Amino acid sequence: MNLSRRLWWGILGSVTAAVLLTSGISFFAAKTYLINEVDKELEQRTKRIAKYPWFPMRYMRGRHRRNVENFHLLINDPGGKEIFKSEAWLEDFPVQLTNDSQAIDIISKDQRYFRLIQLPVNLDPEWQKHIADRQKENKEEKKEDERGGRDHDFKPIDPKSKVLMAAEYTGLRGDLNSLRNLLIIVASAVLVSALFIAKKLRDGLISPVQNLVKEIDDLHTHDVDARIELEKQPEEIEQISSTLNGLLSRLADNRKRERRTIGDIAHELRTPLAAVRSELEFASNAGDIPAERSQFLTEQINALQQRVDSLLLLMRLESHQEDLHIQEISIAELVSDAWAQFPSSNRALEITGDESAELHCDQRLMAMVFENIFSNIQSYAHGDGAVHVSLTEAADHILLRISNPASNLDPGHYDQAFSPFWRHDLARNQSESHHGLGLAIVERIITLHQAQARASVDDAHLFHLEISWPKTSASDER
Amino acid sequence: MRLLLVEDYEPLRNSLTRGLRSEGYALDVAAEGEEAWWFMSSNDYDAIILDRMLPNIDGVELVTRLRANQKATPVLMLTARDAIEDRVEGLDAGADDYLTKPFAVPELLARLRSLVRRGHGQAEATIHIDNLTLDPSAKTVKRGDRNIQLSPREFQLLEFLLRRQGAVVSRTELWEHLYDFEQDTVSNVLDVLVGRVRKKIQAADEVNLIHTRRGQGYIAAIEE
Repeated sequence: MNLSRRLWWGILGSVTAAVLLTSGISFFAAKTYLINEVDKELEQRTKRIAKYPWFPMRYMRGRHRRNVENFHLLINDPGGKEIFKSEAWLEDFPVQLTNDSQAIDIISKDQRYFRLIQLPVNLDPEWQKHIADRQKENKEEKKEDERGGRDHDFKPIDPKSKVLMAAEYTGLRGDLNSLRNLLIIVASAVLVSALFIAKKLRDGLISPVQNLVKEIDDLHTHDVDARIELEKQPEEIEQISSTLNGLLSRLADNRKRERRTIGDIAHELRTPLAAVRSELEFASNAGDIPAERSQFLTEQINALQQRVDSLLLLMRLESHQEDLHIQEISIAELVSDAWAQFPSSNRALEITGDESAELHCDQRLMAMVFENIFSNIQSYAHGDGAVHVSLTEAADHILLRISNPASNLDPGHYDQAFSPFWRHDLARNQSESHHGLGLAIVERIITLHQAQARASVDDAHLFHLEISWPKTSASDER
Repeated sequence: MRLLLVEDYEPLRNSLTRGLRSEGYALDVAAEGEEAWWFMSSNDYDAIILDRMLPNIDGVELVTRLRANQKATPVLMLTARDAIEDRVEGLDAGADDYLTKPFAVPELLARLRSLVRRGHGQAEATIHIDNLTLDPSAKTVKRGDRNIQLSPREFQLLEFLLRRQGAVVSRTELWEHLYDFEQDTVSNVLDVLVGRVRKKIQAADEVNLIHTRRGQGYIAAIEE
């Protein structure tokens, strides 16, 4: 996951979690607090009725908290027989609860909300005695209660009776639902805002990084003098840019030093060669040196010059100081032209496959690749078998396969063959015209074009050099 | 033709000095930048052979200074550096040609001839006047069917006069282009040399091609 996505999900996730958690906790706390208030009121009144069950209506009426709309009461004796039931007692209510003192939620069929609690009667002893006395008096005097019509108040109540009382809070429930809806709307709005802010924040934080990446991408690999623009960058990015520019400066210094070194080496090697050659040629023109000796010296000077040129080219390739001039070149033509450099060869050249295929490459360097390969084949391949070049064009690359009768290379030599100054002949027999730089140059040129080379020998003792060439060169992409 | 050779590597400098003088060129030689600049700014050369990497003032700086001083002397830059950007830098600074070390002597001489020819505003490789033909490349002079043998110095004199044919060339100018800084010759050497050349290229029935302008110098022309 990239930094942008991490930041995006980080900000969004944090804001979402914070909003959901805050809303949820707020709603839950409000609900708990308000229901708790209802329960407190319910329990308080139920306890009073449990203590004085003879006067239930007295404790059902009276001022009660705002969240409770009304109360409903049922008093049952241990046998389940009703001692008292308020008029509004709903049939939806259970007549007995498993546990005492634990308020439960009840929703009636007509979607009204209640809290219901059950408590055992807890008769006040004085009033119990008083009621018993009054009962006895009434029996003895055979007269009605002086307050009239309320003789039931004085009925004895079984101490194992249960008081069930319900408190309606439908209005409060409606308020809680409104609160919940409001919180959902607010949370949604906050989340949408968070989304927008997160995007802005992410863009604000990431765009300097993206700009930096673009700046780095735009830097041409070979342009060591290019630098990252430092204007209007956040301090942190500016530090990174500064560090990168510092690295680029050091790279540029190294490149310049390498270039100067290569120039100095070239000067040191080529100038004495130039002196020897010019002296030889002037002397030869003046007839001061016999033609045979002059020819021998010229050949040796040329051989030395070739080694120096190859060595300097290899150094320039390795230090990326050889500029590529990329063009579309016909491979078949390149191969044929390179082969034409060996007119005295007794081998045949066969080109098969997609002969119209074209390479994105530097023509001069690629000509050198084929000339070096063919030169090695002329010197090292066995017998006089043909050199076969097959071209296969794929979607994204061109496969170039050069096959020839195998030399006596061991598989372990394939990689070494591309190392500078490696010679199969470890004695470095000077009679050979090769000096171990040709294939190293081939390998560096191929790598510089971002192509890949692989060598192998098959069962028929044919040596194959396969070069996989990208259709779009690295230079084009840059 | 008078050349300036600027090369810091003594063996190459000596070899080129010997070789170019044997080809008949008058040659001044400098081993480092400041000395080269003194020669360049004090004399008028037909061409300059300039090494690129020099002590004190390098070749690119020298050729830049030369052009800044409005001197159009052809410059052949010699260098061990063969990278394209090095060549471009040298040519952009004002060099007319670029030769990478080690070079073949025939190529160096051919490039010099080409530079000298272009320096005198001529396109043809051979020079003609009347029925006389001078080939700087083959070092031959022919009048009609007759081959004329000239010493290197005589050849240089005739070539210089023919390249400026129709114009009067002063003795001083001739002197400067035929003799280098180190050669100290007596004053009538030039007259003797001209007389010798005139004698060799002119048979009894042929017209005189080198005329003397009293108090002015010499002119190569069919008629006075």
